[in-house]
Amino acid sequence: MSQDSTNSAVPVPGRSVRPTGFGGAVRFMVRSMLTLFVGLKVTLKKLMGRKVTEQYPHEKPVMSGAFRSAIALVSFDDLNGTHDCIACDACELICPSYCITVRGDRLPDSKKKRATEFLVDFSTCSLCGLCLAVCPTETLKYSSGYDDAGYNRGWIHNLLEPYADDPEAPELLALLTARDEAKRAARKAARAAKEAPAAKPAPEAETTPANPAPEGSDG
Amino acid sequence: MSTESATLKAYAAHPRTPEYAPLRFGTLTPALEQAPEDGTYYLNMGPQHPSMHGVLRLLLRLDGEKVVECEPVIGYSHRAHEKMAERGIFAQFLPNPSRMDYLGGMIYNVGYCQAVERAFSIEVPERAVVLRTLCCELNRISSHLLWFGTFLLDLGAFTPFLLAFQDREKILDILDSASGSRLTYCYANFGGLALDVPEDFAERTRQYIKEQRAAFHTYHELVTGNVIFRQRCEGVGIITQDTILSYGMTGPNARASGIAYDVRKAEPYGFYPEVEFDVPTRDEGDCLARYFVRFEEMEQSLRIVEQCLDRLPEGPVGPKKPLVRVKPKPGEYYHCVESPRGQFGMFIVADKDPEPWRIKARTPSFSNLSAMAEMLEGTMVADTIAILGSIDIVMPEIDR
Amino acid sequence: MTALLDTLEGTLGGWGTTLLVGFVALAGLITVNAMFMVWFERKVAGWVQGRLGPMEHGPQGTLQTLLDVVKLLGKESIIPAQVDRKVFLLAPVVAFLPALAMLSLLPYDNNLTMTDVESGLLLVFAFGGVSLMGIFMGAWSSNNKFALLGGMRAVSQNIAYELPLLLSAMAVVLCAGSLNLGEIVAAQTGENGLWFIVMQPVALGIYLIAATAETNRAPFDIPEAESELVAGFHTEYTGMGFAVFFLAEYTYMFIVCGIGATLFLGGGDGPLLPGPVWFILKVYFLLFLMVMARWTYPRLRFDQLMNLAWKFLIPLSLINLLATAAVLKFVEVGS
Ligand code: SF4
Ligand code: SF4
Repeated sequence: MSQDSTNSAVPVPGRSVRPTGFGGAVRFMVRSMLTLFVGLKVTLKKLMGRKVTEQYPHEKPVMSGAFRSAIALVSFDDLNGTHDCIACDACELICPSYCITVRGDRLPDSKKKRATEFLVDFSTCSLCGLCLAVCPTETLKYSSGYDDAGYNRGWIHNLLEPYADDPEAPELLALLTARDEAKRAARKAARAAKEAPAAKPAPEAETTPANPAPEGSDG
Repeated sequence: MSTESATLKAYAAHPRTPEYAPLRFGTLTPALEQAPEDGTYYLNMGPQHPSMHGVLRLLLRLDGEKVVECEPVIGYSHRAHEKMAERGIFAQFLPNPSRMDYLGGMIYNVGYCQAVERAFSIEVPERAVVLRTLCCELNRISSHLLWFGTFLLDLGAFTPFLLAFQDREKILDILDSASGSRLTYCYANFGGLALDVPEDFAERTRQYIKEQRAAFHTYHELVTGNVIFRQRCEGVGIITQDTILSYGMTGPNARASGIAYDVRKAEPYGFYPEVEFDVPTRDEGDCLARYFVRFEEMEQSLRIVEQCLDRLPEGPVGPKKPLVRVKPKPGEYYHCVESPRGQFGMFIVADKDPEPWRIKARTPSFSNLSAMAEMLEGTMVADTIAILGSIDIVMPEIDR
Repeated sequence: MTALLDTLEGTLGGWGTTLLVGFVALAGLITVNAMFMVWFERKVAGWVQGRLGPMEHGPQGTLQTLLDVVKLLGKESIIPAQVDRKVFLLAPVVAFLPALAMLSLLPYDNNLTMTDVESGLLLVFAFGGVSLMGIFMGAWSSNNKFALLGGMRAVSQNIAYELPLLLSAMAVVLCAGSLNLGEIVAAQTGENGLWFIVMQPVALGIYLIAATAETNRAPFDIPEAESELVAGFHTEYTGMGFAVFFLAEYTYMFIVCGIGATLFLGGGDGPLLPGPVWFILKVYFLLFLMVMARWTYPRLRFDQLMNLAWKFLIPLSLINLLATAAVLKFVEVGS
């Protein structure tokens, strides 16, 4: 046998040789039959082997940490677990699939805006992440649900639904102001730490987002 | 007012190079009206046909089971991607490239980002460069695995298809853990990547590489040596180098005919200049040669992935706040990458506006499909399917 | 049971009773076989591919086929506007009916044959030819080019493979000295009986290949090659029509494997267990081989299929037949 094409681990460079003469033809036939048996051996082994099926509705897969599902609003601890959408419309404007609708209103006695309506049509979302990238308050994230389904053409997620029992406006305003204050203080501390000769890193100040620029808020 | 524009006239007057092959789109459709008189008949394969790889329509003129003439009819999944690009800013086109070729989504995504980065001189941190290369190669393997499966499915073997899918699943899981998507990635953005890979990424990938090498062995036992498979592929659908050149075919199809053109070597980009890999070629140009070339490419890709893992630097994977609004410099830019099917190019025309003035995608399958008409003449119906499978086309990428 | 049979015999007469009981038994066999085979095939396919196969209905999904049948029955039978209605509707029946006759000829045990005919083997193959008519009728009347191509392929394939099928069976007939299926089994059992697989391994190989081709099973399923011809000859069939074609396919598989078990594996011969059980076991072993082949190999091309039959199988089976005859003659002269 010039080339045993069935038992090498690398792609076999060999091409089958056209049989010549009677002996060649017989050899070709025998070798061909052998390849068929090798194939059968593989399938028989697989027949007994490990099964990979996940019995989906009975066993639920675990999604990776990065998994992208419909976008959702982040709840911030320092805001008593509520979101921080200032209804700046940046996400609505950048979304290439036009699937976000945000409406907002000023909080009474304040310049601060707050979302009153946040709808996402998940049926057209392309999970591009641009809305997350532009959000000035970083209050958008991907959720990790995977087995929900839309039952008609528009598949509207109301992102404010989990925040139905938001704190009342005055309380909220107090929270927001307190947070801004805290942030400002932290920034000041960080600047002081930087200026001080023994520069200490201030991780909180770096990870928390900068105070939102107010220019988007009068859109 | 003449209806013909000056450009059209100029185009018509332009002397074509003699070896330029005329495209065979639209040659048979007008003849459909009357039945041929020589005993041949028309057979409409697709767009709804199990092995038309999506929505290709092949209009065949058959003599018994022999193909006399063939015309590929395309456009059934046209979604105006290029027009969509003009509608928004550069970043808003980010989700689109991976939808063109959904099997090489990562490569298209990265290719577009690289095109924009190169055009407007955007810096990419080293870690992102290496990770992009790594993910692209994983994506290439997954695409080739899927090709392997569907090719065998076209030949009538169902088991390799699902075995290949199981291995592809591992890649999808790995890419999912990095990018959050499984098929149409939007992982790269201008200046880096959307997020860093998880802790166990390297470990998982190494594990996968080991398993994949063992799986290749199974494939070869089950398929490569099989006499029926050999008979179906050997000497079938031979593409000559002339055909390759005149239609502008690239990728594994060209390399299977002995043309060692690979964008990763010819116009290196990303981390490719730093890693070692070979460009496998074959001379026969038939279905079996294309099969071997793709298999060797998968092994080379595994090699690249390993090297990338070994040399993965620490550091950020992109700017702190993702870059959404790039500052365009007016001009025309072209950047191409090696997709699993050949050369994928992005031609960008920018003016001062934040929106691209025009984006043209050069997609490899279009050129590869153009040669179909020539290759199919004189083959059997069963060969038609085998050849189509071996060419590895992705219809949405052709129609865009 | 006996009382029931007696009453039946009283009203219908002996012959009528045999007919009725036989018919009911056959109908049961056909349905149970088809349901089991569909389930079994799915399971094997799943296991081979690292999957589990049907799991939802019944333990290990055993009820899946039953529910599928219910679904198929509930489907609308679409008859396309341009088909040749009468032929179109008749075709599945013509394809299926011979199976009943063929099943009644099989020797399930030494003396458990519904119709014991002297030339039973020939008759089985003859009925097989009739079913081909059904396939061709369906293909031709469908007014569909894919169906027509499938039908043409089916006819030429079946004609080509009938020859090696018969020739390999003839080698056994020479050994047994009879065309009667019961006597062929008898020749393999008894004192110094030897299963013909020992004497005729080549014939068994040829028989299995040809039988797979005759039943249009992968890797010889070119008449319905779904990646080329969508669904081949039954492209236009829906609901019941499709179900009957499907039923016919699985019944023919049972029949060819039954004949194979009779010719080469000694029919109902075996220790401990009763004859019919052995017979069924052997049949399903052969069926398992067929199923495994389907999930292992790619499909042949049409011309390669023809080459295999005319250039390889037929000469080989002729040589085998001649050699058998010569050896038998020598033995006869020697003794
Ligand atoms: S992920 Fe992209 S498509 Fe989806 S809502 Fe955000 S911006 Fe729109
Ligand atoms: S970008 Fe952020 S803050 Fe602005 S509207 Fe969207 S979610 Fe709200």
